[in-house]
This record gives sequence, C-alpha cells and structure tokens, in this order.
Amino acid sequence: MQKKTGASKYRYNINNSRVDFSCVRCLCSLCSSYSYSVKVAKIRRKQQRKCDKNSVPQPQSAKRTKTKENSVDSTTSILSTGSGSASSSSSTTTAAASSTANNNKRCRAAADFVPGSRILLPTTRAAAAAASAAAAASAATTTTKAAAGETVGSVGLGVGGGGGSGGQLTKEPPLNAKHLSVSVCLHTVHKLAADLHVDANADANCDAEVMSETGCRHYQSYVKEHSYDTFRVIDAYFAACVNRDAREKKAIHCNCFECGSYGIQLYACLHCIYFGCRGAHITSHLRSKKHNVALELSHGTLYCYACRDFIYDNRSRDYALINRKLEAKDLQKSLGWQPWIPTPKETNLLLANARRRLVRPNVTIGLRGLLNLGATCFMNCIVQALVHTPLLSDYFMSDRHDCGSKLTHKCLVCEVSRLFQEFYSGSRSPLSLHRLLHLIWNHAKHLAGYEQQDAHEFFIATLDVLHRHCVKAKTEREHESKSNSASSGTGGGGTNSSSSSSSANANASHCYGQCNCIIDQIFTGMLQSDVVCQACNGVSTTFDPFWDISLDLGETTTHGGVTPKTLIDCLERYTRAEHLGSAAKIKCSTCKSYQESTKQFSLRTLPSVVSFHLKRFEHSALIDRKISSFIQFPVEFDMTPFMSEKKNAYGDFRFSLYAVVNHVGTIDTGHYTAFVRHQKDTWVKCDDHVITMASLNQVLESEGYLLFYHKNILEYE
Amino acid sequence: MTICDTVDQYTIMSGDRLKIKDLLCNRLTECGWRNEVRLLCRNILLEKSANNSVSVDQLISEVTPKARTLVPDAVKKELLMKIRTILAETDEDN
Repeated sequence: MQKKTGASKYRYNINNSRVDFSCVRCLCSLCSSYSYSVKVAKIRRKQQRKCDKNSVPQPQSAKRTKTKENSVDSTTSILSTGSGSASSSSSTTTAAASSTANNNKRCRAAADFVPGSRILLPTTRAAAAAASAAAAASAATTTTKAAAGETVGSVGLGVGGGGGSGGQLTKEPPLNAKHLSVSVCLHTVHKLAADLHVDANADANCDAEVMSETGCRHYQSYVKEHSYDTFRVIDAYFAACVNRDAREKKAIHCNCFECGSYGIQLYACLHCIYFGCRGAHITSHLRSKKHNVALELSHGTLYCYACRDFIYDNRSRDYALINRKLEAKDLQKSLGWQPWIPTPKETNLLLANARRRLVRPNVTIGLRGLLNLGATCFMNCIVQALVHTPLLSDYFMSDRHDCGSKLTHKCLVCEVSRLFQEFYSGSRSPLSLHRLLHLIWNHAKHLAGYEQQDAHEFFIATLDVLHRHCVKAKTEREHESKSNSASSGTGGGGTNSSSSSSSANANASHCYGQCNCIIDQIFTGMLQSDVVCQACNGVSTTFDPFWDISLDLGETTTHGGVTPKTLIDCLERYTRAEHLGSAAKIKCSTCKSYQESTKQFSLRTLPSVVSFHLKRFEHSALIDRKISSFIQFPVEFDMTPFMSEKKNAYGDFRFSLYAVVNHVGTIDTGHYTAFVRHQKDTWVKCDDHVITMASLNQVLESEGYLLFYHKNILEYE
Repeated sequence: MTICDTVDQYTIMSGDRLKIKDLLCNRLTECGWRNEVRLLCRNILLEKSANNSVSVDQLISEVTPKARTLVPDAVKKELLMKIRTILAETDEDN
C-alpha cells in the first residue's frame, strides 16, 4: 500500500509541472494524442487536489521523487517518463532508446530516417527528434568510438547541407534521461541559485521590497495553480541557459512547433510544452488551447494572452535575475543591461539631495555668460567652447578629477572642475573668471597682462597647463600611494622595485602625447609626415602628436596661386605632397647623400575633438594683416580622405561641428565671440555676458577662426 | 534542416549566440541607441495615447523600422566581424 501511494505521487509530480523534457523530445503536443495528454493532465490535477486534501506536505513528496529518480538507471527512467507523457509517438522514443543498449543497427536505421522532410510532417519531426535522441543515447552506450562516429555520420548525412556542425551537435554528451525530468532540472536550478547566493548577496530581495509589481490577475491565478517552478525551469533552461546542459537542450528542442525555425523571438507556453514564433504561431496555440501565460524566450518577459500584453511580476523577475546571473557566470559574460532600481542607499541619497534638475529642450542649464574682465574675450570664448565639449563635460560632471595636490587652489584642473559646477548650477547670472585668469597668468607667463591676446594661443596654453596639472595630480597620487604602501609594507625588496618602475612611468608620462590624461585622451591626435627621397623613392616616416590643425588661407605659391574656399580645400592643401626644392635638401638614409625630396602630411590617428585653426592673422616681413575671406565649413564632416590608412576597416572618422570661435575687427584690435551647440540642433551665441539663441545658418555664415569638431562615434581602446 | 537552422543550433549550443547577443546589447546601450529608441517609443506614446491606448504590437510595428535604421554601421560591422570569426573558428575545428 505504502509503495503504491509513492508511485502515484511520482506520476502526479511529472504531470503537475508538465514540463517533462522527454515530452518535448517526442513533441507530443503535435501528435494526435495531444488532447488526450491534456485530459490526463487534468485528471492528474484533480488527483493532486485530492492529495493536497490528504495533507501530504508538498516539499517532502518532491524530495522523495528526487531520490527515487536518482536511483533509477537511465534506461528505465526514459521508459517511465515516456509512459508518463502518455503519447503515441513517445513509444517510438522508448522503443528506439531501449533498443540502443544492444542494437546499434536499429538505432542507425532510425537515424537515417531523419531526412529533411522534418518541417513538413509533424509526425516525422517527432520521429526525427526521437531518432536524434536515440543516436545520442547510442553514442553513450556504445563503448567503441568507431560505432559512435558512424552514427554521427549518418545523422550528418540526414541533415544534408548542415553537414559538419550538424554532426557536431550529436557528438555532444548524450541527453541523459536522468536530466530530463523537471524536478531534476528544478533541483539544478535551486542548487545553482543557492551557490550564487553564497557568493553574491541577495540583492534581488531588497529590490523586491522597493517594487511592487504582481503581474496581472491571470498570471496570479496561474501561479496559484502551478507555482513558480515551471517558470523557473523554463526560464533557466530556455531563456537564460544557466549551464551547458541547458544550452544543449535549448539547441535541440527549442524551435517553433509550427514552422521549425529557431526564430529570433520564440515564446514558450507555460501551461504545456509548446514553442512558437512571435505572432500567429504562439497566439493561435494560446487561443485554441485557452492557455494564458507564455514566456518570451529572448528576453525572458512574461506575456499574458488574456491581457494581450507583457506582464511584470516581482518574484518572477527575481528568479529571472538569478538565472541571468548564473548565465553570465557560466559564460563569463556581462550581466547585460538591467533596469536601474535604486538600492535603499541610493534612495536615501536621492532623498537627502532633493534639488534636482530636469533637462528638457529649451532649458538653459549649462549656459552662462562670462564677464569681460578687460579684454578677456579671448578667454571667454575658449572657455565656452571647452565647457560645451561633450567628453570634457562628461569627465568633469562625473567628478573624475582626483587632485593629489593639497593646494587645490593652484590646480587649473580643479578650477575647471569648479567652473563646470558653476555652469550647471542653474544660475543665470554672468560668471567672473578671475581665478581662472589668475591661474593661467601664473602658469603661462606670456599671456599675463591686460593686453588683447590670441584665442588660439590661449587655447593651446590652456590645454598645456591642464595637461601638466593632470600629470602632476596623477604622479602625486602615485607618490602618496607609494609612500603609504612603503610605510605599511613589510618586505623591502618588493616595494623598491615597484617604486622605481612607477617613477619611470611618471617620467615617461611627462613626455608630450605619451600620457593618458583626459586632455590627451580627448585632444591629442597623431600626424604622420612622409619624406620621400626623389632619387631612390625611399620613405622616411615620422609621427608627431598634435592638439590642433593650423590651416593656411593665403594664396598657394606653387599651384598657380589658388586661394582655398572651403575647409576641405584647406585640408587638401595641408595634406598635399610638397616639393621641398633644391634649397632644402635632406639627407636620405638609404642613399646616404643629400637629395631633393617631397614631404607629405597625413593624419595617423584623430583625436575625439579636432580643432581647426584658420590662420587669419598673417605675419610676414612685409605686412601684418588679417585675412577675412569666407571659408565654408560643414556641420558634418568625414575625415577619412585625410587619414594615413584610408582602408582601415574599423575606422569611422565622421565629425560634427560643436563650437566656432569668431574674431571681429582688425589684426591689432578686435573682439572674440563664440557659437556653441547647446543641445542637439540648438545653437547659441556667446558674446561675453550676453547669450543669445542662434540659428545654424548664422553659425555657418560666420567667418570662423577656430572650429571645433567632435567625433560622432567613439571607438574602443 | 537548413544551414541557417544548423548555425542557429550550433551557436546556441556553444554559447556563442548568447555572447554575441550580450555584445550587441552592450554596444547598443553604449552608443545611445537604446536611449534613442526609448525616446522614439515615448514620443509615439505621447502622440497616440491622447485618444486611445497603444498596444505593444502596434508600438513594435511602428518603432521597428525606424529603430533598425538607427543602428550605427560601426556596430553592424563589428558584429559581422565577430560572427565571421566565430564561424571560421568552428569551421576549423571540424
């Protein structure tokens, strides 16, 4: 009597969860007996309720099942699960599988039966699945490798075009019947999840308290009836694939029951074993079977057919997150994008800092006028351009500058950091840059005084000082950490060697263009100059870092006195091969003699921000003059033609204009203004303390002295 | 079974499919595509929800063509290279 109840419980357990994988294999939902199996399921469900009434504790029964299954050997387990699914075609499976142990020939015959007609007839599909399973089983049971290879070969033939990789699939460890039962899968999932929770704190639980989403009423009633187990297993095996076994199962079983494709978006019915493509395939199933809940497998979202909508449920989400973490761990990949749910700590932080700003179109945050402190418009316009450099504002707004220096009031980078805070504080009153000016005066003596200065010179000087201070802060930080480690360290030898190497690094990073500070990351490009010897055609190449590209506007001396009209003209002239002439012979390393040669510039690497300096101020022996000719410049600009390696497959050298500095006046006296892009397609004109809206046409029709372009697509390093 | 299905099956089995998917998701987030599509959806909802609600399917059918064109070429190129190397590797293995 005791034994009998145990057996019935076992059967009920399979049907209760109804995600018996042996069922998936024989695809019984397609065969004619499907309705029968559903009926059986219904009856079993009734039995289950009766069992519940008899107050048999659920977990205990599950446990007993587990131990029972583990003790059963694989062949009998196939038999039992096969009969449990109660379908006609499952008998094929059992027959094939049980025969494999001693009859390889039959198995191979079954494998030969695989042919491509799989898609056409549901029954052949079932047979094919059974055959492949049988082949896999035979691979395990046969001791000689040759026999296994033969089986694989025959399956490969059956697949046809698929060829090699089709064979590869069946070579994988066989689908052990022991793994096919849902309770075992559930056990695996539970175990893996438990392992995960040991080394990663249960973030999911605290998330759950914050959110309160409970799906729809259909899902709630579904969960009440079936618990979360089915969802957990389907999600862990077919949506997230927590381990190798799961991936294997997904690869073999998880295709649309309607069209057989492994489609991009498959749905799995959570009521029975059914996979279907998004759209008609799954909905027709859900409609005809009156099933409500399905799981979208590529993202793991729940879909309710009754609501015709995706639904969100907290507990399911927690389980899904665990599965995603397991998957990420198993494949050593990232967790991927997760919606941000503030942790309690973050919530408190947000509550403590209640002052927040919403950036909408037509919001002026980030715009501030700058007072003219007496001919300091050259500084104001450069500051406006720098503050509106996206990468620079990202850097400073995320507070990335960690100043090692204790005298932060002397550090220009700290001052710029403060400046960004001022610009984005929301205040609209004009700002005075006296501290910045003072710092620049201290560090770049040639700019000191109340005279009018060149904006370009100021720009380069500022970058230089910023760069030096970044390096200084970095070395001081290193120095500090080094002294800390030296004082705390016990072994003398190790610290000694590390300190010498880091000081060597610091020395190296002092070199221009060698360091990794934010200024170099954004503004430094590499110029290539090729000197070609006219005698032997030998090329000597040198590389030079640059912060900006200075372009001549005057008449060309060689090519018939053409004056450039556009930025492209200027750049073409800049990168054109230039004959150095007989007066400037260069010693060729191959000829070992002085020869005439040509020199050509090209751009080896481009910085994220390219700034062009149009040389409008001409200083010659005869006359100093300003060239006010109109130079047309584009908004979007592809720099590919000017690169050293034009056929770089990965490179994308498209740039967008984001700031233009203009000079009005003569060479001796004048005024600087700047156009900056405030938001996408929104331009403003900054004239010291006055900020006005500007149209793109106004920007493009302006004269242009310094042009700032920002790279559209940033590459990875 | 077509070649397509075989490739599908193989990449799912080896886990490459998931890795590629992961890479793609990261790239799309990094290049701002996700935000753009989000904005697109938001705008459609704001436009249409005035008179009646928009269903998920409606939204998908409207957003998908636009979203596809928004995927940067660099991302496509990188993905193509990745897939090519993966398939070349498995070809060598066999």
